[in-house]
Amino acid sequence: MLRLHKGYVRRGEQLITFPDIELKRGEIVGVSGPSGVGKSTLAGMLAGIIPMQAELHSLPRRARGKPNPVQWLIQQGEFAFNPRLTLKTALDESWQCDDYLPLLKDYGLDASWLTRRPNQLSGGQLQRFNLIRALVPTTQFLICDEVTAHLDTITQAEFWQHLLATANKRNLGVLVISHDPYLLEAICDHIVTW
Amino acid sequence: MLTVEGLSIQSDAVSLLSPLSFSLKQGEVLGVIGASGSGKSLLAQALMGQVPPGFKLGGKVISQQGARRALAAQSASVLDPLRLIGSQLRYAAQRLGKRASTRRHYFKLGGNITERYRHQLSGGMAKRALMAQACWQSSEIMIADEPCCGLDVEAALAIYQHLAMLARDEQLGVMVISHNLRQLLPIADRVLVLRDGRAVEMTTPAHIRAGACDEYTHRFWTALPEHWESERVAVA
Amino acid sequence: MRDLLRQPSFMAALALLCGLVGLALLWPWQGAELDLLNKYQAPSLHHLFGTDWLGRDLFSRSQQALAQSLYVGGLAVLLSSVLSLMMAMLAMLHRAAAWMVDLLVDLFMSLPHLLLLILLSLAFGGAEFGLVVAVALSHWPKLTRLLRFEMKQVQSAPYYQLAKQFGTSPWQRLRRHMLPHILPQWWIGGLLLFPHALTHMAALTFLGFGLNPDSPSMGALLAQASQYALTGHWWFALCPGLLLLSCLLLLSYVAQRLLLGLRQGPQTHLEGVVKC
Repeated sequence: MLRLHKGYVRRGEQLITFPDIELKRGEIVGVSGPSGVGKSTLAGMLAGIIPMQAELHSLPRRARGKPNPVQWLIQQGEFAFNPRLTLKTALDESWQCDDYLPLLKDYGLDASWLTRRPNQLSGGQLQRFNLIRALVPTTQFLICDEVTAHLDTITQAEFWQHLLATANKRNLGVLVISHDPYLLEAICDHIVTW
Repeated sequence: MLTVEGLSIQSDAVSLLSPLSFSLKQGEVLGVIGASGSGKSLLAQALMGQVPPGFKLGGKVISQQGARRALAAQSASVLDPLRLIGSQLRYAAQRLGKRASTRRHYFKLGGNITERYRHQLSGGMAKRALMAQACWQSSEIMIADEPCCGLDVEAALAIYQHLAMLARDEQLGVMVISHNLRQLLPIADRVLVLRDGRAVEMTTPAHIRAGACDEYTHRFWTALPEHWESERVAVA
Repeated sequence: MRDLLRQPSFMAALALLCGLVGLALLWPWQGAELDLLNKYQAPSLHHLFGTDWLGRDLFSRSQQALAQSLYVGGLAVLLSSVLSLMMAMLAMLHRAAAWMVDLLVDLFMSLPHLLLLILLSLAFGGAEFGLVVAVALSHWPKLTRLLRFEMKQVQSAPYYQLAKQFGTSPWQRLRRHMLPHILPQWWIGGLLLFPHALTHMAALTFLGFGLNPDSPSMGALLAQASQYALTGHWWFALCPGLLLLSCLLLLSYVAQRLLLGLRQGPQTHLEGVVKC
């Protein structure tokens, strides 16, 4: 259970307050709001990168030296990977074994691409690699921060198809942050409006 | 009027853009769609006469009466990091003709944009600055590369409406590269579809909506979330 | 980077630099033999740089001095760049450490450079040891600041943040994400320090705070030559001076081009270009 009640963060003079969020495993919740209200900050906070400030919050417990059960998918796959490393190194870093190989085929990715560097793949392919990297066995929740905003509609549809199927199979809770109301309408169980 | 004949980008081994022919009339909005990596941005660059190093530009781009072309680039990295946005735009407007003043009202930029540097702009502000820059250059042809990528719905809508108005009121030829079909189709007169550096077809929004187009083109339309079949949602 | 190797100007500079350094290191004659019959000889084919007031061949002495300077300078630069890397890494450990390092950098950069060098050199007993320590201790702040900046950039990059999400240890992150990014910057930064350090060492020796004036070093040669500058023996100062100057300029040109090549990053692959 991922829960945030009366969360806020202070940015200098500015005070950003967050809407209340409740996300159970197996549930898909959308968050929509105009750009610039701090949606990425919310994602970073739930992922534990920005310190949490809230009246009441609960996050799954994180074991030391193990991957965070709340994984964060960022907007642009291009920035999610170290440009100097091959994708194999990047995936090995999160999985610490090569159990991800069968997943590659499910996601329509070629295993030979693992030897490439991020600048040799398209945005859609990178975003799928990014997703696989986050889908380590311990993952319980996914925070998707505008993950398909930079993709064309066909790639976008494929991406969500893959993601929703996996979420269903593995009983993941997914928080979808987007400003596309149709997308949220199509995939979410309920939508939180900022 | 801009006429493109057999425009291509090739090296000895690789072809990034296969020969491509189309025209763009004044007062017309031409949409360009395609998957990422299909050569949309390359087409925009080729029209401006730029190619990646090691590649050759083929074909001809004929613009009647020496119509000037302006490109609103995809990322803010083309803006000078060391000068205020306002001073860069004033320079663009002064250098290129008198018509700039009449076009000023298309992309109104407040002091919150003109009095800032590149790194202080948010994504939406940077896009507006880029559009204004291209617009004020008093060109006859304007090419906008992903003008609304990463903007929220209202901001994107405002930019698309401005582009449509530019074409209609100022008789500009506007080429919009986008993957946002929902917002592109209402303003586009014709749509060019690219796939792997080749033109699939030249069609119109009405045809795309009706499905009277290439199967590949139609897939872009049906892949919009509002057209997803309910079974897909049921999977979730 | 590979593009750089194709530029004729860069390759020419590099070849010339290697030639000069190689010549200095391999030059077989000491230039210590006195030849009192041939003193005050102007440059000629026989004596390329002329001879000094004791009839010693200035060309040999210049080569000797250059080799000596390169050796001592290299040592100082190595120490200095290792120190700056340590400081930058230290700053990453804890906020207090970062504050401390930034304060030290500010302190050292606010002091007049030459004064600092003189004080340090005196404090460490002058001569070769004092000189090396003085240069090492006074040249680290600039490089440290550069490295700090680069490290902060990596730390704020999404891929570094995400690496934390996967539970990797700080050591792994350092090795996998941080070092590959900053090490090239580091060694080129060190290379850029080199001409700087050489000039300052020559200056210190010239002022009498550095190497022993009897041993041939660039500073000592120039210091002695300055006494003869007004007596019409122009080659005493000009020839070794030009040699030092050309070496320094070549070195800093090569280092700067390398840095520029590095900044542009790895060449985008052909497939990387095709991106919308």
